[in-house]
Amino acid sequence: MHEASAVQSILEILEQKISNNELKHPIFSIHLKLGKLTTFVPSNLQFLFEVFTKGTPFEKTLLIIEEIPVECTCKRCKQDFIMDEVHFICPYCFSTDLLVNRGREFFIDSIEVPNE
Amino acid sequence: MNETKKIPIVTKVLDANSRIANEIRHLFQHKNILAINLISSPGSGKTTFLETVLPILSRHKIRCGVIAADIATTRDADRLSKFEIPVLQITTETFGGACHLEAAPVRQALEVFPLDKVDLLFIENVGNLVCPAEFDIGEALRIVFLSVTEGEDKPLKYPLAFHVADCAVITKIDLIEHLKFSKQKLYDSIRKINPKLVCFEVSCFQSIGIDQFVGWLLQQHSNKSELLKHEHEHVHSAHEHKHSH
Repeated sequence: MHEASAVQSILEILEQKISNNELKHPIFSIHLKLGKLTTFVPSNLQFLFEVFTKGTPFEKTLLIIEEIPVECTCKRCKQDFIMDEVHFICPYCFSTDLLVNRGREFFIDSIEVPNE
Repeated sequence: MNETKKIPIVTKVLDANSRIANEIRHLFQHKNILAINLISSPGSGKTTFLETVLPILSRHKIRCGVIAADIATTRDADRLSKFEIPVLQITTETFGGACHLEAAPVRQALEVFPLDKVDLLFIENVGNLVCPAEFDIGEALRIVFLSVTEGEDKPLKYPLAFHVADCAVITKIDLIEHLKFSKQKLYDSIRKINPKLVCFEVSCFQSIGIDQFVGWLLQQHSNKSELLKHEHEHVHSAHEHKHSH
């Protein structure tokens, strides 16, 4: 359950910014971007976020996860394509020499706060 | 006027881990140590494999060390202590029973590890094919182990572990005749995930494939200065695109 470490890190990053006066509560939502080539499961992240934030100032904060598809460029024929299932082969020329452009991301993209 | 506004953060969730992993990588560069992260499910034979290759590497005058990680017990380190090399056990129960190694406990272990006595450091991760694949611990190489008793579809079920590996060691190959295990299906699975993956079929009990693996490892070791210059290739690609939208 490595999602526990991830949720802890998300909270630490934001708490750090709050203690530096860069942010303040309330935070309505946290927007994550999560590549489909990672092993983090969105429902596990949601569940653990609820568990970890219960009774804290983040209790009512929503965790919004946007999944990012695996996007590749074939180094041989230079075509870009989205990989629907994990199979590292170019659907145009069948080369296996690929550059993975997206799909490994896991970052806090933004947060939503009151417009004061 | 909108009632809410968005504030960009754009920070990697595992940023803190990556920073510590980079510190570790610089330490390994400074000490000229080739660190290898060993990843597999529990019981694939990582420790038996180390028991087999450590004496061979010693004969090749390679000074090895091992950091073994488990949730509990020091059994792996106890098994390896007979080789008179530096061995240290990390039990992750101290770190919340983590199912994988993160950079922080590795850094803590390295503070007491006799780094000047080793050229090559094996870091035996917690037995798990999911979580360890996500966490950079400052290694130069990753080896994934798969025993034939686990089935040939593991690379498809745990793609990231195989995608980020530099080498796959297929263990317990001597048992294959007793199993309905298709090598063809295994290699088809591997090629889908990581077409360039270097693979070795080994049996520690029957001494099959060990020399071939050691030959590859010695080659990596002689190329150490080059390997240590760069961040692990797969880690690097993740960094490159962290700001993509």
